[in-house]
Amino acid sequence: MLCVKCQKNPATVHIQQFMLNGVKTELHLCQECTFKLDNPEMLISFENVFKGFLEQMKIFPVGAGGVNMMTRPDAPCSRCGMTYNQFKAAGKLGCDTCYQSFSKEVQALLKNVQGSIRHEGKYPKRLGAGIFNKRQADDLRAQLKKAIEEENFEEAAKFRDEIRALELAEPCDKNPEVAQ
Amino acid sequence: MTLPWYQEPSTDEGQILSSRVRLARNVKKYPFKFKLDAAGAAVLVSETTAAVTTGQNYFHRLDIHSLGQTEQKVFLEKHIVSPEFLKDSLPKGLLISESENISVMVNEEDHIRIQAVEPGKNLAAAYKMAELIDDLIEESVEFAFHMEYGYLTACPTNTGTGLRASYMIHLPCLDKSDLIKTLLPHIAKFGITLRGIYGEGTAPMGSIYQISNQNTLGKSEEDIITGLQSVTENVITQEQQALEKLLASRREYLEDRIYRAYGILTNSRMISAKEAMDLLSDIRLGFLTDILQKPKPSKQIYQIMMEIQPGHLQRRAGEEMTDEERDSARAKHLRELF
Repeated sequence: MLCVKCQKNPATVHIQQFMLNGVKTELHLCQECTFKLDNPEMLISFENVFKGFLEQMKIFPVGAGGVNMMTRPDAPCSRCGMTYNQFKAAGKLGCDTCYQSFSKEVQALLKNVQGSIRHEGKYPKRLGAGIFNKRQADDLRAQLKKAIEEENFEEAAKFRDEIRALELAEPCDKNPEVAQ
Repeated sequence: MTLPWYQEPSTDEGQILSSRVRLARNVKKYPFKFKLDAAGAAVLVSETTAAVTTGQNYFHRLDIHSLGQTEQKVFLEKHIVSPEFLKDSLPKGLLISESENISVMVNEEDHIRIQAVEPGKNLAAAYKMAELIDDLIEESVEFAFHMEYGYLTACPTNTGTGLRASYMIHLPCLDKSDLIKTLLPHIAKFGITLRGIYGEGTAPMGSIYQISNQNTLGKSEEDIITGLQSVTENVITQEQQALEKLLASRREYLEDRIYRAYGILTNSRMISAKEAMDLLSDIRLGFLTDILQKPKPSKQIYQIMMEIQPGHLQRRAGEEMTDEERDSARAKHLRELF
């Protein structure tokens, strides 16, 4: 097998990358091309695989029942003017508002690439404790709903009281700007 | 004078050479790098620099654009900067602590990339340092943050914690026996990935790999780190088993390989980076297993591995070199060390 880059030397380096979504990529290079650190973009990268995923999304929109839910490709982000087509080509977003402007696509992407759409890590300190309370209250509301559905009223009352306590402790929408 | 972290003996004590943590952050009031103009980028550099260096002079500030190609290469080879950081001509900021264990890149793919590295196995300590810098910057800067998605990054592959934790690990036995390939799909299931020493898109040299988390969203920083730790421990167990098997069944072959490596390194007159890296890998294994009964060089093997890269050699020589000149300088440097 010849090196895919120079098409001259035999390929002795075989790079494979496996993604969570089952996509596997391979690249066969000679040693010379592999160690040309000056041109790292010529080599396969996670980014390229990710871009490939963006392409796939176009063909198989990740919506319920195959409903096409894509944003119009030329619709710009209200803050930075980035279009969905630009995002797809670059694999990078233009600003924080792009996450809202292309919300459906970004959410589908995160679900597939990251396997989750819910941050469980650190919060900026300046957001204060309110953000924790809001998260906790959301979780409790879901539990409350489930308890009512299961007619487990004793539990439901407990959740209701906890939610009230949280709401009294600190207003949840202290930072409406960052809240979705 | 504080020693650089890679001169610590713990880089040579086991399979794990170093522990590294990277945090990606963006500043809310500026568009991401893709939409950022030079003027905005320059202000971002000065604001971030001020936020990091406030009230102390722990960090050296460097202008990467004013450095020569050789210096830039040295920083790449030391993993202080990324290829992405050197790609475009936007104003950049680079802050490096004295022992080179903490660095901050401004205007890499994201506005701010905080990096912390510890010798040997100590991911928790590396994260703690990175988090300190993160908190320090946050005191004067508002980060782009989303209630559901967490820290927002230019590429959705970093969204959430923005945390990439990694170990640099030495896997000579798995590498030589090709077992490493069978390992990849297994660790991928845990959201963990394995790359060569020089990262994304590069092939492994000297059986040194970077093992890191693929996903940044949906898990806490602590869980990401613990997950990586346990997968890495598993990989290391596999490596140790492969070594034991080799020692039990083909000890002489292993001894031969290690002493041949020593023979070549101490005698060659010209040597490529790839060959030298592979031989250094055998030597490292020789010292770890006590097979190699020779005096240890004055420097850690990992440090030597960095010093024989093209940028480091060129800086040592103080001039541009051809490939052949580099190969001969590399051989000379190695002969002097061993």
